[in-house]
Amino acid sequence: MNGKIGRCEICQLETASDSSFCPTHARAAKNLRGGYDAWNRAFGNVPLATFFARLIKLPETGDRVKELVRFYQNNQNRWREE
Amino acid sequence: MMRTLVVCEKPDAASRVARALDENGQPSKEQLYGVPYYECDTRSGEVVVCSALGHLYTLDAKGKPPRRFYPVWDYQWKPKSEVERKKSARLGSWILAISSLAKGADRFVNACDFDVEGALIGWQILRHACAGADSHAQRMKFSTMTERELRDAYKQLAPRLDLGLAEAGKCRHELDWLYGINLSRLLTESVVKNRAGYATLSTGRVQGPTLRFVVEREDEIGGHVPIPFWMIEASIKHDGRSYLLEYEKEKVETFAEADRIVHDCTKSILEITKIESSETRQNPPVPFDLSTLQSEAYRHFGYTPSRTLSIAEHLYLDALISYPRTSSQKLPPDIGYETILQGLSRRSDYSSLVKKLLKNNLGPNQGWKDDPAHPAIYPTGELPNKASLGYQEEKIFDLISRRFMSTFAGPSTRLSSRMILENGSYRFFLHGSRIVDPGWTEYYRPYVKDVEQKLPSLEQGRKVPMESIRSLERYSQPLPRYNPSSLLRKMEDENLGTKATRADIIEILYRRGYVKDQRMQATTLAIKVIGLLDKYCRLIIEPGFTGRLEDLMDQIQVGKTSRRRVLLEALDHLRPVMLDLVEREEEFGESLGETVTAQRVMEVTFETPCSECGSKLKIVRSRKTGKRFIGHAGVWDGTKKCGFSAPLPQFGSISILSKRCPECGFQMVQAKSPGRRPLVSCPRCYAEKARAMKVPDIGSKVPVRIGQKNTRATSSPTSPQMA
Repeated sequence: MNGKIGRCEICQLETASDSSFCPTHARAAKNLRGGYDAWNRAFGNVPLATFFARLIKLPETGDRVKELVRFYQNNQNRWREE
Repeated sequence: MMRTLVVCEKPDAASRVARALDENGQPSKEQLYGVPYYECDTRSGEVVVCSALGHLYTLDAKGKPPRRFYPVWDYQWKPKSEVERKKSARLGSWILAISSLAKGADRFVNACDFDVEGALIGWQILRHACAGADSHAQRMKFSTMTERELRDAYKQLAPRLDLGLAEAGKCRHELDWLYGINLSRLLTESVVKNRAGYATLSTGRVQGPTLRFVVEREDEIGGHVPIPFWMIEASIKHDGRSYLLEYEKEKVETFAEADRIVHDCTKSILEITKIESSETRQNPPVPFDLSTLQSEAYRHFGYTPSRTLSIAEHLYLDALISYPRTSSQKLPPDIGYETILQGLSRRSDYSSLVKKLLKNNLGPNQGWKDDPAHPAIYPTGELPNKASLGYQEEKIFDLISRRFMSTFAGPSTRLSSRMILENGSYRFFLHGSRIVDPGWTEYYRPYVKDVEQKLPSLEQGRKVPMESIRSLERYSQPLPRYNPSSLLRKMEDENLGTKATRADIIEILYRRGYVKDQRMQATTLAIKVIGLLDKYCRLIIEPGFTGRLEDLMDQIQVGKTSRRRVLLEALDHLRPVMLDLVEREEEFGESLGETVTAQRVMEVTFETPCSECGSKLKIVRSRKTGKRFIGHAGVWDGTKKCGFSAPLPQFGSISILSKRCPECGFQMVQAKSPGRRPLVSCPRCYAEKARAMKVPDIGSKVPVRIGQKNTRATSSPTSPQMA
């Protein structure tokens, strides 16, 4: 970090420790990964793109999660890297 | 002849007390400096009854620091007239009048409400306006404003004032002032110095942790990932009627399992393997304390906690109910159960119910919560004059009266049955219920629902075909947002604030723009403020810390600790935090400035675009007439050509709601002014109706309610109604 404050890649707020997201988006990211596992268990194998597309459409999905999904849709390698 | 000065909390209370104390029930109403007071003739001499206007004294910084200077640690109690700019002359004459009346008095009585605030109001008036009369003043304690109770209370005056209560009240005001002034000025000043304009931002000892609950909930909702599950919807048919079955698992976790259940059970034959029945008894409800009343009023009528409290206070001052600011759920026998019920029986819709109750021994189902000062809320037995009672007051009075009656009734008994239907390893249930004895529910209608569900006449071993079965894909829901009632309950559970202050704190959250909508949604500003406070002074928004201070203040009341000790402990925490925050003012300003500006724009901008040109619509004010309406901000400088506009109510403050009009989908607006029910309407539908009916002036000063005719516009038969 070189003493520099990291900025969340989505909202530019200060990042949480060990994350490239702010605490709110970091929590949403954790929920998103847990959610993907649950979806895979529920439906069998769900392609990531389908999972993201469905989440964006569902009214129950939280706004922070939707922001995160859009981020991953534009930066697909980031989902695999993290 | 002895002259007694009785000090009440409000003018309405003074009028009631005076009527009760005067031998003939006709005290003479006088005025001094425009302030009303009453002279009563009694056997023990002349009694003068005067009143305060709530608090006449308040806290202010010592010396004369600049208006928004902080941090401030030195304070003093001053007459409110010297501190507040609004109504200062009126408040000043009030103190002057009481001081003059005190000069001729030999005996002093504090007859303010018997609680922390009443003790403090009376103590300060007697000490400061009555030349130290607090040292020998007596205390009049009562829970209802009925003449009988007021006379009894006057006969049995407590020999001295309740100093424990007054000290606890002082401590609460001082703590709230120290926290509120310093933290709120930090927030406000940081924005002003960041050149984002003036915006009143506030936080406080109770407000901070309360707002944190809302923000935390918003955070949880924002981070919610819906998880799929399936529900099995099945039915059987018997005697031409369909019965919905419940699958043994409420939620099926995988699509494959749901699919298999549907596949295996379609057109299957179910066997009734068991029929179970059990009787369940439900005890009557406990008497109302303030928060249960507020919660029931919200549930049945949608009244906010602050509105319910204000209505209950009116009923109390009219001697129709007992003192509403109570935490007790107990009704002691000395309130006279039978007399109250007989009083209520004079109302035709209660008479048969009361007759039934009076056949048995009277004993209410007491709750566990207690309050040393007052019993639970109960009707006094006096009936309202229907003409004098407003629609909302009538509803709250009825709720309280029926609740009171139901607490004396027996338990309700219900026979619950369950039919178990099986197809191999699949089990389905069919539930039924029948009321055996309505018990208390009969007295609490329409505020209780007692729905019966009949089971089909099928016996064990019978086989029935499955009529239909399908699986429904569902998703887990996020936690619901708080509403004013559930937030109030949360505050109570966490021991934040008092029964008297909680409702006001919730109103402040709305006023400051921290929350919007009935389902309280935290705004970006609230998230920012709580984020900053959480980062730099977490303790201040910790419910545990504030809860501990509340406990300490309770201990002051009973003499277990002193006001000085509690203040010192709180200052030990607050002072270092504040000194650190002062250094961070610029950082606060940078962080909040942009949000305040953005919120200002957002508060007047609709999410729904203009249907004619697709650009953003705003609340704008006509430069010519000063009237506000919905239009395009750029019309005046020529950057927008679209001429779409829609009218807005011209009274109160306007807020744009997230709620959409069910007819046209446009965002609804709410006009709110003090003492009035908020008006929620769709401006687009209103405009269209107005246009169709050719009504020229639609910015009425008189609020037009949904489904109610505009009284001002009655002269015009074509006047529209707000959609």
